[in-house]
Amino acid sequence: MALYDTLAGARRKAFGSIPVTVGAVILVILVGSSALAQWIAPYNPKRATGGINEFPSLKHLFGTTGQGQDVLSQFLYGGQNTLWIAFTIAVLTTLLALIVALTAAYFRGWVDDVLTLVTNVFLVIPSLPLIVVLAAFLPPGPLTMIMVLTITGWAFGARLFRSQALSLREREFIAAAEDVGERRWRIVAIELLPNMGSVVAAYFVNQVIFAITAQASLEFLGLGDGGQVTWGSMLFWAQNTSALIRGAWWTFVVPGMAIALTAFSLALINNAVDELGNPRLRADRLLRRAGVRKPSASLMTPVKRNA
Amino acid sequence: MHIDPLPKKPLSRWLGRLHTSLRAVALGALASVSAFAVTAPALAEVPLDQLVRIVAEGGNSFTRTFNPFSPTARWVSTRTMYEPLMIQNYATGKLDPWLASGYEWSADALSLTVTLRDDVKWSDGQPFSADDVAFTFNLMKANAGLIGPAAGAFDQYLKSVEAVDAKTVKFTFSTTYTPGLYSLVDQFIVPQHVWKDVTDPVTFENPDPVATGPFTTIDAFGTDRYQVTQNPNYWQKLNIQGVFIQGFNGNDQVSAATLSGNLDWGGLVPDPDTTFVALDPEHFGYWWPRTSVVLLQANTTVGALADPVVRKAMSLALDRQRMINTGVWGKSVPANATGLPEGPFKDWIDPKVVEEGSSWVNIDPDAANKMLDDAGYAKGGDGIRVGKDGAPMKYDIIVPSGWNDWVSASQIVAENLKDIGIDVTLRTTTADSWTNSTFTGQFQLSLGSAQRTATPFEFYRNNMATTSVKPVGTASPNNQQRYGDPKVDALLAKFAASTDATEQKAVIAELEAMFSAAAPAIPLYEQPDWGLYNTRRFTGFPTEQDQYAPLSLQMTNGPLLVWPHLERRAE
Amino acid sequence: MLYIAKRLAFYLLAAFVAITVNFFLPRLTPGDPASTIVATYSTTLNEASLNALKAAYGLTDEPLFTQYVTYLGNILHGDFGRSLSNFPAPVTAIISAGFGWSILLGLTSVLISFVLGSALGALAAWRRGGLFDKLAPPVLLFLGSFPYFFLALLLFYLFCFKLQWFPMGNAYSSVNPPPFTLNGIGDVLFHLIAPAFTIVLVSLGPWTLNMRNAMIGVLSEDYLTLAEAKGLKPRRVLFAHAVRTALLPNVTALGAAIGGVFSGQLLTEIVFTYPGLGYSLMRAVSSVDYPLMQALFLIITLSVLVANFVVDTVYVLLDPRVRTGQEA
Repeated sequence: MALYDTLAGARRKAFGSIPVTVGAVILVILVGSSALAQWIAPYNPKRATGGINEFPSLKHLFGTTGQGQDVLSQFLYGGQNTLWIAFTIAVLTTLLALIVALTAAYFRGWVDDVLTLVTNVFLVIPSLPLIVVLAAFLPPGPLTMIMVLTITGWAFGARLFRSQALSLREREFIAAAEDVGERRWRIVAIELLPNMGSVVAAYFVNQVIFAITAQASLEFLGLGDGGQVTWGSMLFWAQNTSALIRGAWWTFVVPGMAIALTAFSLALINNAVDELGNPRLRADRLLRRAGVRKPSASLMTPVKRNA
Repeated sequence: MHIDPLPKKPLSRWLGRLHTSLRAVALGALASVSAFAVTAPALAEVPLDQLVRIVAEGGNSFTRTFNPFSPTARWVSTRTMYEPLMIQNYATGKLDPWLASGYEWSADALSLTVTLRDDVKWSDGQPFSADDVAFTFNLMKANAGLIGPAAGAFDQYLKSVEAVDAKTVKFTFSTTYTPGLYSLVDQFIVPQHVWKDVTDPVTFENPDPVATGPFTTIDAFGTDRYQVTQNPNYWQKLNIQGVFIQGFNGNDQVSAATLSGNLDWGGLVPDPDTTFVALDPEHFGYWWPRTSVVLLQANTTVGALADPVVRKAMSLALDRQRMINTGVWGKSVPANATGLPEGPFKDWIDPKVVEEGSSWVNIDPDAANKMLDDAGYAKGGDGIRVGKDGAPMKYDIIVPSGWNDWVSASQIVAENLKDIGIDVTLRTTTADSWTNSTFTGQFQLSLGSAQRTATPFEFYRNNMATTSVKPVGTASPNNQQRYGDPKVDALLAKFAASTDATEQKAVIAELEAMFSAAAPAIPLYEQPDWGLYNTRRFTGFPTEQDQYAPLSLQMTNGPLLVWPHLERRAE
Repeated sequence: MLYIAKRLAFYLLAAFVAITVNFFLPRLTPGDPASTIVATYSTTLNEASLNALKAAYGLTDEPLFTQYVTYLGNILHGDFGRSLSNFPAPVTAIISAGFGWSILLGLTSVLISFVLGSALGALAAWRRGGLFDKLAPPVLLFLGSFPYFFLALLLFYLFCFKLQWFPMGNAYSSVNPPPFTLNGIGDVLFHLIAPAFTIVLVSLGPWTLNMRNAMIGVLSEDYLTLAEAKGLKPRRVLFAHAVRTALLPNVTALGAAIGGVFSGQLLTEIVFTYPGLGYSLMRAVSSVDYPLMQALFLIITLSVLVANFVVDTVYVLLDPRVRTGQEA
């Protein structure tokens, strides 16, 4: 039932809200065109197929790079590599963070202490040097990127989830469940987890954004694999050929905008997911559908809630 | 009731206000800064407009340490402070007298007598003498950790250094080694009266240097900038007050400062004709002479790369002109088969070797494919050739990210080699990891370039001599490809024992032929030495028309030659 | 108090673990960095000079554990050795030169983002569904979607290079540090605008949205309704209860943000040539400058721990439930 409501709500929301529609459309276009790169890209992205830094033209819609490659083809193929790496990192970090946080919340006591210690150690180790050292230690490539960003990217989530669980645990309904002798794993699975849904979903989408930008930053610093076409490596090459100084802004702006638009569309959707996961807000919507006007969460209407 | 707290306002108006208020903030701050410039109490700094602004040191963590013997010495310590006996001028090819006025070999080439100028004083007013020279060399002998051009001389060929009289120094050799001249006279000299009291010269920070150079006074020192001004006792006439060194954290930041006219002397700006000179053709200029060659190094300890046929076939696949066009904006020429740059070594290069060697430094992918086919490197099912050991010819080419011209060239190498069935992947790494891999021989393909030297002797020693081959795993800056030929050792020994230029040239010609035959490294293109100038405030820089000294700031031997020529333009 | 003492003990333990990791991590890099470092700087080195320099650099071939004990001892004595990439400068000289500037830039931008973001978020939540609430999140989200260096480079190129509104680098105009006068401070602030503004621009979104969403959650909770029902003034409810509770996630994040000041600002300091520690760190790591790296790690680790400890303390003040919960 709850699941059905959520999905139905999502569908209504998706068609009802402008930001979500905008986000979804952008995302579908970016993901779709990247997925079709093999068929729609006009050129081999790694080969010089034009002059150096050619202004966008009919022959090269997004212009050419400082190496003479077609920017449009690089954008399409680059999206493919960038996106699957980012999604993988997001899935792995969210799972890891959730496992750590729920294990801590379930066992409490010394297990919680140890896991919190580990989490905090990962939080306090400056991640950039760790990333640099790891990146220098491992051969550059997608697997290294995934490993490095997963190892360094989960700790904040674990801390966030744990503090959320802690905060939830103090709530009346959990306390009530505990009082009636409900089993702990049931509390975690039935009471804690669903109530953390919005936080987890928001975190996941944020992790996709984090992974895309972190990947780009690393590649920009030259710590990625410059031989692979990704949006980050496109930026690296634009920088390498001094694109801005030489006026070839299209080699720099295209991958930058690609990253920004992907992150933006995800963030828009994230906002919606966040609201969906919040039971309070779901109830608001049901009420509104039932014709009850209620300016939600406005402190101007103290007793409206009981209407 | 739901009340909208914000008045309804079109977005554009809101943005316009934001814009205005931001500008107001910026301009307000600007006003306070200009007020600061007017009202600030006079600091003990020489005004910036009297100083030559140069970009010489990267980064922003400058510390007030001017120990010239440090392997990471502050730029100014050997470019404006401590001076050598003589300077090898790579622009003219001559050995210019400096603190020394001349030298003379003994007949057996076992002793070298150097005569010093008699008008040189240290910046604290004490006279400069032969004792200082002897002291410097003996200090280096006693402290192995002191690094300089003459480091290691005592272990290799030098027996003793003594002051014959106040103006004469005698170097006694333990074995004949005439190329040692260049290392010995290139050594910067430190004052005995200061350094004799230093407990540990290796870790001496030397914050207030006493030296013979043109600019030795530190009157302002910040963490990302410092200025060094005139030595009151300099032995030459100076027309400028000093230099201002600013640190930058990246290539674009340097370019931005250069193009804005905020630098008087710099090195590299991308595509200089259109981005730089065009901005102010009257004052902006560059001169990029070529004094070394970029090499593609194939590790000869790795499978098929040991075969000279493979290396030559690889060479034939390469589009050198494209590397030049993308990497250095067309400002170079493809290298010849001797591995030597034509500018500084034109008298040493044997035209016959160049002509015959052009058969393997041209571009001809078909010939390359045929060579590999004939040599038995057949293509596998995936189109990748297979080595004699059965391993597919798949290699990584490593290059430090940020070395933009080399990264571009490596990308082209990878692309070109794919056309002849060799699968090359470009790997960009940190500079350190690249150095570690290449120095220890733990790499497959990489780029390298030769040190600038007075004669081609070092180039062939560092690329072909068995004495320069270190086992894989042991770090060495030379012979990264690990190629050695005992016949080369013999020729080099013959060269080192000779004081006769004609005989030395004959030896070099033989070495050139051996290089072209064996292809121990693949010459790509000649490496430009970056140098650019802005004459809005200062004139007298070396230029393409007036090649009295190198314009490059990175060469140890350029700037000292230039300082006396610079002049502040009249307002 | 017991809670705070417990946290303190915990942070000391975390510090020890981190310091240990700091020691072993850089030594995981393959090869013989010691020889490479030395060989990089001179092409004419022989065995004797190499060994002499290694000794001067404090690089030994002793077993790792012995080196580790020495390292711990030196840290306790405040002896961080000499930088290898800036030899023979003591590491402390490099760190003290950049430390203040990193703190200034970091704290300024993080605090502005935190305060402004939380305020905007509270405002959006309070007037939920209003124009501001509809407009601010997408705009901020879009700005925050750019990779930081991309936006910073674009802004650097436009405002510092093309328009020349702001300086292209440095923390102040003069070479020696500016005097502590109104003008000197103005000069420092002027140099701070561009780098701090870009950080705020990119990081404002999460602060605002976190606050807004937390606030909406809190506003719908029963006890607030109860408070309102008891007749408390809405404004008082908002500030005394709702904002305080909704601020918790942001306060948690603040600890991480302040802790990440040094390594997180790396790209800012590169783009705007700002003299902080972030870029020193990057250089130390890429040139395997152990002594500098270790000292920087230590400083960063300690600052993270201190920031977290402060945040924990603030957390207790804001949310007594955590305190009682921990003690139970």
